[in-house]
Amino acid sequence: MSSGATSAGACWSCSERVGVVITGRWQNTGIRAPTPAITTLGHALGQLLRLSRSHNYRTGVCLPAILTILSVTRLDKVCSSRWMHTDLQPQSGMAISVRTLDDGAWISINDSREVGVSEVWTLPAGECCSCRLAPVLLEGFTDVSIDGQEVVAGVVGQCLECGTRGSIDRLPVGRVGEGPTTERGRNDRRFRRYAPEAVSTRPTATHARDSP
Amino acid sequence: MPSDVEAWKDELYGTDIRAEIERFAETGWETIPDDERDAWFERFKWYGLYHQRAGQESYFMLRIGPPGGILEPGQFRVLAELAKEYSTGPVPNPEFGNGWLDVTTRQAVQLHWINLEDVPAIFDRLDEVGLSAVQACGDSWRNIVGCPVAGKDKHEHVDAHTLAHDLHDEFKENEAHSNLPRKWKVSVTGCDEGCGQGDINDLAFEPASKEIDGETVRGYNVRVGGGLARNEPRFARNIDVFATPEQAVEVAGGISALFRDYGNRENRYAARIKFLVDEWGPEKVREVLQEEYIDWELETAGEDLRSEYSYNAGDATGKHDHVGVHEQVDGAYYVGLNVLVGRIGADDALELADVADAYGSGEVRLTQRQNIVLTDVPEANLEGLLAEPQLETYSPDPHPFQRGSIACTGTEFCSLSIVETKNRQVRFSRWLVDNVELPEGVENFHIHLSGCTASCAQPQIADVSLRGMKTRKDGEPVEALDIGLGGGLGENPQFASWVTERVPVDEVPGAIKNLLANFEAEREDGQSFRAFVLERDDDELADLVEPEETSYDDPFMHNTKRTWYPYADQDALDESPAPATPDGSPLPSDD
Repeated sequence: MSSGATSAGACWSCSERVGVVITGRWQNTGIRAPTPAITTLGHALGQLLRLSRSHNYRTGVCLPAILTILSVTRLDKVCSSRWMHTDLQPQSGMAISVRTLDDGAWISINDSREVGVSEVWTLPAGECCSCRLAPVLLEGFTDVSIDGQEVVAGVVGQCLECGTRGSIDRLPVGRVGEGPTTERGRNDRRFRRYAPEAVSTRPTATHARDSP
Repeated sequence: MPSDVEAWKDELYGTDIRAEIERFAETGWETIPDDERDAWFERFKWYGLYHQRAGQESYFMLRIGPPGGILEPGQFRVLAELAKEYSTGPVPNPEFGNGWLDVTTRQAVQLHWINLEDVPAIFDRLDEVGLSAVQACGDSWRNIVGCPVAGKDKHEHVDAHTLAHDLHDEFKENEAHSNLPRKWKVSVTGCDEGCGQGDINDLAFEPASKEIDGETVRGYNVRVGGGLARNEPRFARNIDVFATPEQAVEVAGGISALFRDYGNRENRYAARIKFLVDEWGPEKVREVLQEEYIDWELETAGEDLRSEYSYNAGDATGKHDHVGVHEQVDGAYYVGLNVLVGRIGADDALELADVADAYGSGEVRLTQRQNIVLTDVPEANLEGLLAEPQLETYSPDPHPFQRGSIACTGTEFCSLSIVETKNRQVRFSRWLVDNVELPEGVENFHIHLSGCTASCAQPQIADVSLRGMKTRKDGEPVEALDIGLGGGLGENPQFASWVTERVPVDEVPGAIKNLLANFEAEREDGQSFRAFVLERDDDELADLVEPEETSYDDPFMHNTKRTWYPYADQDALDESPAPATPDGSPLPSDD
């Protein structure tokens, strides 16, 4: 039985909170799978939960994990004491996953290939080299993260004017904003990528350095 | 913190993936949940499936890797049939039509435009003839490369054919070695010509002899940590180990396990074993291998044959490739055919399969220079074989510019590539044949074009190395190439030096023409190109490369990466027919 929106209660074994099984999208694996029996209080569908201990689906390995709640099944008497006092902390914000893919060829936002290498980005002086407006060919993404509303990437690139090849630790490549809540309760934040040539409307990159 | 890829692999990897592929094939590509696609596409690689680039969603490249590039009688025909039936795209390629197979620099075959829904039938067909796409991509034992004429060759010192197959049998679908920190490329060389190209592999077995208990034993020296990618080229390092053919599989397993256990799983860009060898040094690699993975005392390295290596080795005496007619140890012949940039149309491939059956044993072998070899041709059949019309295109005696041309996949399908490659390399070679005289005595001249620093065309080991770039010309961004010189293998392998960068693609043929003219004018009598390059520093060489517009015309100067397919009339990304079902019907997309 899935709850409509929230669940709350007490655990059967300690008579304080209700045991539940949450089916969620596990952020570390991308797989939709249930948790073991756990306890929880009043979390809404679509929210992110952090499990300080969790059961890695299929392999039995314990890992810290974050999952998006898709459904909550309240249990009558089944409860695993192993999970009884697992601390479930709701995560602020909405579901969004960012990663680099295919040997750094792409930045993926929520499993969609959004920013690719081979584009020429215009960067102000000092971000890659001393050229005033440097046309920098992005050759590979080394990492990506979210800083507030900003998606920032580590990149390796080369200035097409002066030939300097360098790495930039934090190149802003776009912003995320509110999106619609999906049928499954997931609130997909929308990604808006910056135009590679629109240097004046983009926050500046940081920690530029030349390659050896 | 382990990467997402490590987490996905930890969750489900290896042979379990096939059932999931079949599940999604049954329900359709569109049933892969939106927020699981990254994970599944990464896992599918283990079964040789690589999701094509943006604008080509729902289509896959499928790689099939026969060990040592050896396709037994009948197998090449099945690959040609699969190419004809399943490997066709929404629009044809202007040079190659629609439906072809690509021979790769790792002796594999790649098919493009594959729909996931067709994969189970393709896998069944491969299974029937003993072929497989298992571990053709992904973080595990890739296709084992080696001498393509192993078991047939007069130059063989030790039987590389047996070891390549033993390694394939032991480490494919082997759970203990199915999830490594990164790809694992292995080469087995058995001949004195060095055609396994071990120097650019993660693990290389190279022919050697060793005095053991008063007897001379033939076997392999072991090298570890070679590779070309990411502007970090390394030649494999000698770890001072000799393995007999009987010991080689166990040694390979020990080194693979060492990589599995000590390789970097936190950072995929520093995960290849070449970085571990950098950090540890070859001495520590040997020490850990001995102490933790091998329970007998390893022999020190034996006497190698590297001084005799000729394959892709500049001015060395001996074969530089396998093109042409060569006698086998059993008195029959093998005939190496040039495949320009490795691409064979499906109909041509079917006819070549007929030719292989009619004149030889039906066996077809794939080389690391993207060519094919027909084996077991009796002397009495040679004349008939050489008169076959297919051999006018796939020639055993091609012009050196076409014989030496290698190109990677490029922006046609690849996410990483910066420029178009295969069609361009075909056009380059045609123009060079028509417009440039090779200096006297130059019979081998290798030009390798790679679309990016991943180096799939092995650009750093060519006479002229071309690497994808961009530049501005007349104020407009255009596709460009960096030009490197002087690379090659052999006794003293050498990576190319990138002497001239960001040359607009339409000026590259002129640059090669001028370079060769300058070489002819300035070289000493009979001096080879590689020796000529080695004598000069980068500045001197840069002066000899004079990029110039010529009659060469390049239709792909624009940003081909921003197209859904560079050769479509309506090529903009938003004109893409993808994603689509196998019958071509468009699927909804939120892209």
